[in-house]
Amino acid sequence: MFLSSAASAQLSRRGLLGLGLGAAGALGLSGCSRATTSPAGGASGSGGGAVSFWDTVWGSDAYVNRAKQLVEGYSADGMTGAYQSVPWASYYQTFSSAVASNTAPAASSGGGYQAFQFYDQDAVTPADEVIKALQDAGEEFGPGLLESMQYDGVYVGVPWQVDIRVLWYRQSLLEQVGAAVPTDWDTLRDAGLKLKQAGIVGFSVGAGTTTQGTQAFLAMLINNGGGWFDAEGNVDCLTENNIQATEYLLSLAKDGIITPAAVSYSTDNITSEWTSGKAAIGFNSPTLAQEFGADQQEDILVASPITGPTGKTGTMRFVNNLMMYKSVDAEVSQAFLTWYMQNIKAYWTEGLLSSIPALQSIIDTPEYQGDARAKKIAEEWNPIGGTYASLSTTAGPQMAAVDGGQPTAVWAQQIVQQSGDARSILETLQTGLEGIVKK
Amino acid sequence: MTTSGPAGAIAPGVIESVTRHEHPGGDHSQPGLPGGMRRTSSRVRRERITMASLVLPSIILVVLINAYPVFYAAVQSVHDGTLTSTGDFVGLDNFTAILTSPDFWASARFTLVFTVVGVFGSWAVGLALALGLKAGVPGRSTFRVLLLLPWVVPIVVSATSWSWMVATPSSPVPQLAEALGFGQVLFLADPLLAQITVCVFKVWVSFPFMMLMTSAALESVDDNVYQAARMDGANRWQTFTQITLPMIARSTYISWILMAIFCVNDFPTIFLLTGGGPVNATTSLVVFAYKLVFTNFQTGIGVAVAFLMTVGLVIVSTILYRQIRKAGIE
Repeated sequence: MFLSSAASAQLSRRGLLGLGLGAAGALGLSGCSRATTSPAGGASGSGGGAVSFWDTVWGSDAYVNRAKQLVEGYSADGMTGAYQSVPWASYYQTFSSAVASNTAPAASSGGGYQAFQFYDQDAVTPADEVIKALQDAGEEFGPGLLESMQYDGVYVGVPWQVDIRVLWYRQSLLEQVGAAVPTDWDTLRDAGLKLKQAGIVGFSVGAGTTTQGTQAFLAMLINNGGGWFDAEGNVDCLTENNIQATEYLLSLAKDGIITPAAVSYSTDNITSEWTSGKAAIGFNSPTLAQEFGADQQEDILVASPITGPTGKTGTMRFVNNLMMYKSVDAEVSQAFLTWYMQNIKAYWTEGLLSSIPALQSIIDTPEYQGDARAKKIAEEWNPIGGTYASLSTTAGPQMAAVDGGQPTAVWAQQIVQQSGDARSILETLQTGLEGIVKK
Repeated sequence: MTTSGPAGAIAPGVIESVTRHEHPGGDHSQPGLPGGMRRTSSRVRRERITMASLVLPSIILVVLINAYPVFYAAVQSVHDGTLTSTGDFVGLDNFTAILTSPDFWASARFTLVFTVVGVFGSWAVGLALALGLKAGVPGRSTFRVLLLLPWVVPIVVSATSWSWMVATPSSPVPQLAEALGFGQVLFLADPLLAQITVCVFKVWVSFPFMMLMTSAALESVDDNVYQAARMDGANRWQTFTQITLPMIARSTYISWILMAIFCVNDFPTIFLLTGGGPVNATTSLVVFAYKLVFTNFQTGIGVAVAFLMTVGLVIVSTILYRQIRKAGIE
């Protein structure tokens, strides 16, 4: 700006400084005033506003749209529901940032052990009231689900669905090589060897950018009465049952029943292997069938639980749960979550989710009972499911570090690559888990 | 600029007089100076304060943006915290744990290999293509655009494409290798092959950047220099080594420094292709830090790794820039 007089020059400089200070002050004040408004997470009390629900992506766009419609239909005490879909990529960072900035939602879904972690950090409210309200309303939870949510004498979350690893098979491929549906580890090997001769994978896993391989191998440990943790929650990898299971898995890798390429497989690679007819047997989630076309639905089937050498059965599962954050009035979030649990039936009756519902009332619906695969998973596999905590009935915040952590990923990759014997591989796992688990 | 003060207009000559006294370290408020000069030096001080005040918000902003995260990282690296809380002070325990961890040193070794291959591999390819394009190949504008594609395409897309091409035994490249008699080559399953594949992928993604930098530098070289060299009897190799390389040296060194920083900090290239596997074979320091923080939830240790990386990069960059200055490369 060109100034023609001393006075204007003085005024301009001072004015400019004043303007700057004024702007800074205004910004500061606006910041203060924003801080006094209710948190983005939702209403801080009754009398109007939105109850925010953040939901990780559990299904297709149809699920997200239905969930949004459902949540936005909530209305109580003048408050309505607000839905926010949260992608799985960096979901933990999203929730952590919200907790740290006191902008967490009223309630959310999320990682299987997220509620334990946030409870430990004093960020979530116990879910006892919601569970009691649901039970008072006659709702019944699936076997072992409530126990798995207990920590520090309270329920840290409300179980709403179970993601479980079950044994899938392609019937046409088994018939093609003359193999029977596996019922135990010996018949699993027999089928695998026959499939291998035909160039088909007999134990489909992926241990690269996916944790599917880790989960499938843990399912085999639990299937043999083992696991990574003992009943008291201590890391306990070097048990006879675990060694036996790991030796078995190493033998599958040695025989080529587990393909060596699996060490770098992503989820897409596994799916492609299944749908292209290059894989015939493997542990996977209940969503696997959704990857197949309508003409292949009769061919992709769920086996009954196989029996391990110890005579036991078992698999691994995630008890997915809903949690309530302390940044919002507990009564508001409790009322919302109770309502939400009583209205999620549509996810299954409309075929939007393949996981096992936590509430028996949903399993009992004609729609769910009419799905043979879903019914089999709920009736045969769900009761024998164990979490990452394995032999311990309850989990804890440390399981979040185990879920997707480096030691377990390396363990799975070492099995696929046969990097040592069972004992040495389990010793590496033991050391790794002890390093990340805080007791 | 109009010079003026509260007393009104200043006569010509006073400014010159003041200017003569304005030298670094000069004291403009010495007693005994003429009144007009005192007023003028006071005004200069005010102007400096004004300017400093105007610049201060920017400085504060830059400090907040750059220094705060570094400071916070330094704090977190000496605490046993989580993503939502700082946790207990643990002194240098996190650094001790890192520096005695074989996984850290394995990651550091791979980071070094990845960086050296990434920098010099992409530079060699970029330089060759830049020279080829400068030589005037037909359709070079089209080629230039096509050659930029690896840099332009989102890394998620290119990583997924590479994964599709090499990941499974039935992928096109392993199929081709098998057809050529190499047997079943598992590019991402074998640790050494996975490292090579990731490095080649990095070179493929990065050479367009080097090509652009080098092309720009080559454009600044006067053609008369080449003509003079030819008249002096220099052959192509001599022209390349004695003229081209020295004349683009500054740009080359700067692009090396930039690419070294890109490589050390490169997360998606590795994570999307291999996730750092198999068995951590392709885990670089940045992937290692990510896994520690976001999968193992060992925030303090992970941040300590990132902090060490930052310090290392700053030191290396500073040394390289000083070397460039010392060498007097133009």
